[in-house]
Amino acid sequence: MSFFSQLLALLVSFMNPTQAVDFCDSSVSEAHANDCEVQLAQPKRLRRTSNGTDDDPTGPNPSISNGF
Amino acid sequence: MDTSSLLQRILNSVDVHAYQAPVSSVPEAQRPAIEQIRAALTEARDPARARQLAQKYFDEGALDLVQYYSAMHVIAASPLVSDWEEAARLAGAQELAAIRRGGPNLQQALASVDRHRGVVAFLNDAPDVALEHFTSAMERERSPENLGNILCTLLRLGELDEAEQIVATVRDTLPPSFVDALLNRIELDPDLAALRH
Repeated sequence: MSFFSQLLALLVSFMNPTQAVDFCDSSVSEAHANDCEVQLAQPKRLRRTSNGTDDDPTGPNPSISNGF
Repeated sequence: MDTSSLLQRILNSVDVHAYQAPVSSVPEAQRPAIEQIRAALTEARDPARARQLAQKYFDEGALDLVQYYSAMHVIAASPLVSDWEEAARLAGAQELAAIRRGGPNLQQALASVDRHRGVVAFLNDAPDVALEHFTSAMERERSPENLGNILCTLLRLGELDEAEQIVATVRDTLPPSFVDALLNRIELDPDLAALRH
């Protein structure tokens, strides 16, 4: 099984409703919980580019999240 | 014009903007102290002050050893510091402290360690290694932050189709609160721009 297949299997395992209940309770901050109540605007699809601009996912500026 | 200085200013600005350090995984009792450290690091851009605060709150008992090491790691891994040896060492120290502390928050604390190790790998141009750590973090703590890091890493690896498939799976199956939090990050995170639609 490929790594990606394992990743998908992991996600599928989250579909169990008994597990899904605690997503926001245990893992999401109050700020995120507030975000959850916001109806988000439909986001736009941006194209990949090769010139390093922000809409290039392989660009040089990682937006990784290093939460405490 | 000092173009190298100008370039560095631009890079610093971009990097500081890109480096996110949310406090959502911190136990509630320690969150106010961590929030002050986060503000000193990401808003005041003063890692020395952030370290002072971490030491002060640890000495006062507002932070336990696990959160103290976590905070010191986040500071070391910040683009303002980029001390990777120290960041990696602190992740190991945090892991040992978490194991020794044990308790009901053990998995959440270990997810934080996984996340920190993934960040060190990701920012040292080893996205394949980062993906393993971020997946382990996701297994331990099912949060939009951890899934967002997985998506970032897949995109960095050029796995756009797989990332889109994951987002589609999440949208169809996970609770709306989780989906909305993830979509919010996709909307705000330039690295995830390819997943906006």
